[in-house]
Amino acid sequence: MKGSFRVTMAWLHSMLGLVTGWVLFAIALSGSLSVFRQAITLWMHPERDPPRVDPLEATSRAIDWLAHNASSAPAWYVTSPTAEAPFPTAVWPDAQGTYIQRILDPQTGSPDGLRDTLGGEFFYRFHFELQLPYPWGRLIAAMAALALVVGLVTGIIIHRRIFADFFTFRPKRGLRSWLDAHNILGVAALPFHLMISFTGAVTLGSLLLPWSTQAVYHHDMMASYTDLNPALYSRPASGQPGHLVPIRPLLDEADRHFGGAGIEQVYIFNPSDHAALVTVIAGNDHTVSTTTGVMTFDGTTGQLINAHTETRPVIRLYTFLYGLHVARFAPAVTRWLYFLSGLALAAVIGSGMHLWTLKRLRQQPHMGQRIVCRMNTGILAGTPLAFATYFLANRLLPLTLANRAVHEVQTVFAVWALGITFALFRRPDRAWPELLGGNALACLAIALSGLPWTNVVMRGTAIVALMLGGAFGYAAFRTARRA
Amino acid sequence: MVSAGMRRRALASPGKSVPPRRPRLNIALRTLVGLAGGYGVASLGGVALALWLPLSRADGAMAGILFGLLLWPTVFMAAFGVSGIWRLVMVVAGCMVSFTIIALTAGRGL
Amino acid sequence: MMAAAILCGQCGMLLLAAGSIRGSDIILRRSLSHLLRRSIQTAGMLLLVLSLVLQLRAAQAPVIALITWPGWISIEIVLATLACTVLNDLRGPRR
Repeated sequence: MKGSFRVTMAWLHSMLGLVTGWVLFAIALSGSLSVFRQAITLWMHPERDPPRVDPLEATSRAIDWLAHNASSAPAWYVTSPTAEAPFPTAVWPDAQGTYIQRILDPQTGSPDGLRDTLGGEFFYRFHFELQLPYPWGRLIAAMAALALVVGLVTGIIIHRRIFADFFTFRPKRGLRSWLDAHNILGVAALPFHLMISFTGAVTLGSLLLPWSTQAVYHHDMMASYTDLNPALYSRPASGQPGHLVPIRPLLDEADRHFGGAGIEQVYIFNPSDHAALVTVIAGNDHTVSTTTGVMTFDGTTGQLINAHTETRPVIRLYTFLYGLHVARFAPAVTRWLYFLSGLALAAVIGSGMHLWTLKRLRQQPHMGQRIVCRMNTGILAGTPLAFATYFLANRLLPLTLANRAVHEVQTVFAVWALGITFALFRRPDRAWPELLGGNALACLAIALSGLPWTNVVMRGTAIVALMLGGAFGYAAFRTARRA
Repeated sequence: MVSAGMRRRALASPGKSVPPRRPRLNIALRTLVGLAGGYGVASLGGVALALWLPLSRADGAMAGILFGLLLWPTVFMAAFGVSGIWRLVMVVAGCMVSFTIIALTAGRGL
Repeated sequence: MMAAAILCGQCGMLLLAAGSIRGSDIILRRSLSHLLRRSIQTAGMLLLVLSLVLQLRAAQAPVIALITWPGWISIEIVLATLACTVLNDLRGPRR
């Protein structure tokens, strides 16, 4: 009985990997890059080396700029600067209702002089939306997260000698070596992999399983939103014009109230209206949980309407799990560990896909299996290439191009499609070294385009790019020799 | 009984797209039960917990979500681990019915 | 403090590797009695716990150290594995 259970779990592990591997690889890779999304955004704005400005001051200036340049918008969503991202970001709907996102200069509060690019936010959004319309992308990502949980658990079940093989890596033995690598990367960071996959599903949980919310609130969905965030007070515009009070004192009061957690976001609703509201959300300094505190002020008088510090147990558990996943709390070292563990997860998924290919190629694979093998090549080698191209497009596309940010993203998908097509039609023993070589060159180009490496972001990116480029180059060399 | 040698070979064997002694229909049914039935168990289990938990409404709703997220993968794995497909269907259906009854009898009311 | 913690952790991991059956073959080049292996592994675990304690003292907030410690463990496992692989390659098989 036990033997048959393990065999079934092994089959399930392979099948699940086959069906969800491609999506999970892209999610894991973009997720790893998202750890450094603010740094990537800084890399993509080489024209401005932002000086350190007090975050509350920078946020006030950003809101001043919005008051002069986006006064008719019904809402402004401002993200406060942090140590990793020393610039405020603002999102607001334009006259047609499309949302604009801009990085704002921390000194002037204005986006002028900064190129139009999504920066690291592209990887962050892609990671849980997959560039698909709402809600499909998020649902797919949520289900992929749960599939990863199942994949990890079945992997543990079938890894028979998990302790005996704990430190085992035998290179140059083909399938055996790949299996050793797949196992060691999975086992070494197993707590991370389990945590990140489950918490990933948690972040999208209310979309995937809305039924308990509906059952408890009896279709009074407005109550479910206000209950979750009691201080996120909302009221309709009064129609009468109004003037916002100076923001800085409100931010100072909130900062004191939040007790050292800092400020993460400021939302301003109906800014030019008499019924304006200012909502301030606590940051993540020294706390893992997100949204530990929220305060809402009347926008025209500056009076506090509502303040909430999260004490409810299950909601605190949720914000803790959410915080573990998005890692806003993470200081530099922790952030690097998240990044490396994320790459390890991508490598676990990728090596798993490659193991499948190697096993199939041993037998006589039929046409369907051969196509899947080639698709594996396209995804494994094409995805990093597409993501690398995003960085290069940021440097190569003309600064005055209309919709520049959109074009940068389009480059990613164009290169991705080309990479997959290339892998489908090129012989595998040629496709691998060529695609891996392309990756190596792209990484080198990323490192070089950061020259001169004046600030820490340029240097850090160059180091990572050079190391990855070296790894890709070595892999290209090894696969070329075997051809 | 399956010997140790046979087991090792079964685990390492390439090219097997179905596990031994499991026809395609069996696989399809188990997948359906695992996915759809699992989602049903997760949803109903979450609802039942949300309605019974003696905490605030927001806490209950969130607990239901978290519980459901734990249930779905579990049922999905069980759908392939439980021997005998009819036993599986009975267990999953039984869970759904039980959770529904628990939810309907909760103080908060559906 | 952090450097000491990481060094501690890596040594602990190497001891764990040395205490495993395959590891004792590769690193120590001898078969060890069950008791001796377990003792070496226990010593390794204690060093890992010490590494955690040092990280807790060095961290801004304890919860952050608790989250970061498994991250270092992952790196230590991979490095210990690579050490075993390299040693095995350099020394050749025991028999």
